[in-house]
This record gives sequence, C-alpha cells and structure tokens, in this order.
Amino acid sequence: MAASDQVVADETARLEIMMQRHERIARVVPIAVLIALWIVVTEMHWVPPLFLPTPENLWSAAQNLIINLPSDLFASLVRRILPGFTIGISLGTLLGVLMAMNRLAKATFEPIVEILRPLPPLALIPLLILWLGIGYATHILLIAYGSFIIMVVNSYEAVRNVPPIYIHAATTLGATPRQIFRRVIIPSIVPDIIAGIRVSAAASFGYCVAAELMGAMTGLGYRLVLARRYLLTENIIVILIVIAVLSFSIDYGIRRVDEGLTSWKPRIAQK
Amino acid sequence: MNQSEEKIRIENVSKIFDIGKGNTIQALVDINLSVYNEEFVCIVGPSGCGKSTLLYLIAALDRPTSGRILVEGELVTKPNPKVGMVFQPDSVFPWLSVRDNVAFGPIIRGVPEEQVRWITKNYIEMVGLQGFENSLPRQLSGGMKKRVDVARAFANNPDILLMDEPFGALDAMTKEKLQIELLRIWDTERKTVLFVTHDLEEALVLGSRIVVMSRAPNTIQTVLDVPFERPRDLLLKTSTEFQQMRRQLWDLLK
Repeated sequence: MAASDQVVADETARLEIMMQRHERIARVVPIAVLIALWIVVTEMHWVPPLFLPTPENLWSAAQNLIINLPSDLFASLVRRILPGFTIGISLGTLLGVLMAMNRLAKATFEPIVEILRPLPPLALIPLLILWLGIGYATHILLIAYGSFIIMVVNSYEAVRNVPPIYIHAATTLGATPRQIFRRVIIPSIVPDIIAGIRVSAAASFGYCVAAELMGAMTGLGYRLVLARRYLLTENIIVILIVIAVLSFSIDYGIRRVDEGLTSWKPRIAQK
Repeated sequence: MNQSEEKIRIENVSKIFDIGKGNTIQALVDINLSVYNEEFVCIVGPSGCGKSTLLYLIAALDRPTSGRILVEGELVTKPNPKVGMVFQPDSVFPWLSVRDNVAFGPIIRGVPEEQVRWITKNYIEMVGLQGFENSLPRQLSGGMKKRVDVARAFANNPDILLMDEPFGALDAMTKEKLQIELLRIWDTERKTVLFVTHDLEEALVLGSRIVVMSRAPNTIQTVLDVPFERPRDLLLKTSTEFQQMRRQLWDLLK
C-alpha cells in the first residue's frame, strides 16, 4: 500500500470512529433530556401529579403493583396471548400456504378472507362479548383472529414470492411436487413467515390489552382500567412500561430465532 | 454407447405464448432438430429468438403448442432427471450450503448416503470449490455460484445437459475461465449438451455443431459443423479458421 493510501485509510477509520461516538451520544441524549424534563416539571410541581406523577410516586406504585404482577402476567400472557397467538398463527399460516398451493382451496377461502380482512379485529369485540360473554373465550378468539388474518395474507404472499427459478431447478433435478414443497418452498418462505409472526406477536399484545380493557377481571389491561377508575396515573405508567418491556422482549426473542434460521439470507448490513 | 444414437429429436415444434388481450407471441416456429449422443450443440441467435424457450420445452418446464419432442426415443411429457439444466439466472438454493446444493439431486433421488458423500466430494473438486463445502451461496462470488450450479447439474448424472446462457451474466475473464473448465469436465465426462448462448466465440470454442436461429420468424436458419480438434483451449480463438467461422456466423446473424 502506498503511503498516500495509508493516509486515506487512516482518515476513513478516524471518521468512522467519530461517527460511532456521535451515534452513541445521539442515542442517549433525547431519553436523558426527557427524563430530566420529567423530573424537573414534576418535582417543581409545574404539572399536577394526576397528570404526571413524580419519580417517587412511580417507584412506590411499582412496589405496590409487583404483588399483582405475576397473576396479571399469567392471565394476559399465558392464558390469553399464548393460546390465541398460537392458534391464530398456526391456522393462518396453514390456510395461507394452502391457498397459495391449491387453486380450489384459493377459490373456496379467498372470498371469505377478502370480506373479513378489511374489518378491524377490534370492531368485533362487542359482537364477541355478546356471543361469548366476557370470559377467556372472547379474549382468545379476538387474539387468534387478529393473528390469523395477518398470517393468512402473509404466508400466501410468501409462497407466491418464491422465485420460480428455484422450483424449475429442483424440477429439472428430479424433485417431485412433494419434495419441492418440503425442500424448496418451505425453506424459502421461512423468513417471510417469521416477519409475519413478529407483526402478529406485537398485534396480539394490542388485542389482548384491548380485550381486557373492554371486559375482563384479570390481566394487565384490567389493571389499567382499575388504575384509571381510581385516578392512579402512576399505576397506568408503570403498567405501560411493563407492557412495553414484555412486548420488546418477545420481539427480541423472535428476532434471535430468526437470525438462527435465516442466516442464509443476504441482507443489507445494518450498523 | 453409439455416437450416432439420437438423444433428442425435435419434430415440427412451435410455441405460441398468449400474452393476454387476444395477443400472442410466436416464440418458436416449426423447429426440427436432432441431437446425437455425446454431441455438444450450441444454439445462437438474437435475443427473443426463442432459444431459451426451446430448452424449457425439452426440459418439460413448458409444453409445445404443436409438434413433439422425443428424448431417447420417448415423448417428453414430464420433467426427467436424465435431462439436467443450468439456468442463466442464479438458481443455487441460497438456504443450502455448497455441499447440500451439489448433493440435492442425488439426495432426492434416494441415492445411498455413502455414495452421495462421494459424488458430492467428487463434483465439488471437479469445479474447484474444495474448501467452500460449508459456505453459503451469499458468501460466494457470481462465478463461484455458477460453479456450484454446474456441479449440481453434473452430480445428478444426467445423460443430457441443457445449458441456458449459463455464463451470460459473468464478466469476460470469469466467463473464459469457466468455458475452459466446462471443456475439461466435458472431455472427462461426455454428455449430450445443448448450450444456448448469444456469444459467438463461446459457441465456437465449445460446440461441435452450431444451430443458428433467426428472429421473426423464430426458427432455425442454418446448422454449422465446427471442425476444430478436441481437446480445445482458448488459443483456438486466435486461429484464422476460428476467425473466419466467427465472421461467417456474424454475417448470418446480421
């Protein structure tokens, strides 16, 4: 390498290090400013605690709520989201793939899916409550339905997007339709399916909380309704933080699984 | 096997594509061609002359509108692992390692594991990819992926190999390198090859016969014998006879 090249390389490396330092600062500053602002406006009593609680309020609320947290989490996560989400994504993926693979299946189910798809799942809550009451069945059905609709469309498109060249290549190598399905289509659609599962997981949280807000006697959403009823703003904020952390952790988990399963996929590098 | 045995027979084949709104494209018009055992036949022609379509028909990835195609005396109705194909676009399965790509054909045909391992090793070495067995396609260059493609086709041990502009997307140097390697592989492992290209030099270096196709009508214009001795190398390109034939082809396609 010539000396001038070395100088250019050093300069590029130096700029990169500086950029990374700026990025780290940019990540932290807005959050730090917001927290500082929050502390100042609440501690100086510029806003009433009903509107925005002080850090001390928040801390004691968290200590009170932690007693109920295990049972709330169990109700929301294990009894509602887990069954609803599992049923929804399984049936949705199966139907979407079936519709993409089989013309008769497509003709049979597409009209129903197309009619249901534009309906916001949340709009179904009153009807579901009328039919099934305010028990777990309503909540699970809502979550299942919400994830189902997402996955039907997602998995259908995933199969349709498998590049024909791979199917041609497998065909000329002697693969039967069954072998093509198992060895070409399934591996090709995994990345898209996982992307759909991520969307469904986030949506499931939303549907669960919404269902609990509308009618439930347990769960994080129910805890939110109680807090609002007793004007406990600090409780509301603590529960929102819990929901955010949970939803993020689940998405992070799915992303890690995704990285393991689809490391073959060329992706644009993200810094 | 007898060198004069007819491997592929194309009789009065036409292909019309319906492109909607009552419009059609005459992709192939009345094609007649026989390809014999262990022949290396190149098909050249302007783009849109139907040369790729012809390969797709022989591979049974599509059906002729009229006429018939026989492979080893049997009417082509469904894909047959005895007829392999290498495509122009990258068709290496990106979710499989180099080894698993090359092993794909033997595995799905139920070849015993021990033999698959031996076949895979052999063909990976033949295309010079030893050391990359566990690499994923995204880690390979375009030329390396093409080698995987060629190895995968050969590992399935087809009698007939259809190659649809396999090196068309590669840079000139990589292309020449792969041409030499293909010649070398073909010299050790004779197959009946039908090779589509729009590169006249490529056709002359590789082929024993050259089928010249024309556009509108999309049909066979003429068939030339390529007299150069084998084994060939790229020095052939500098010979006067080579350049004369190139000129002749060029005039035909003008």
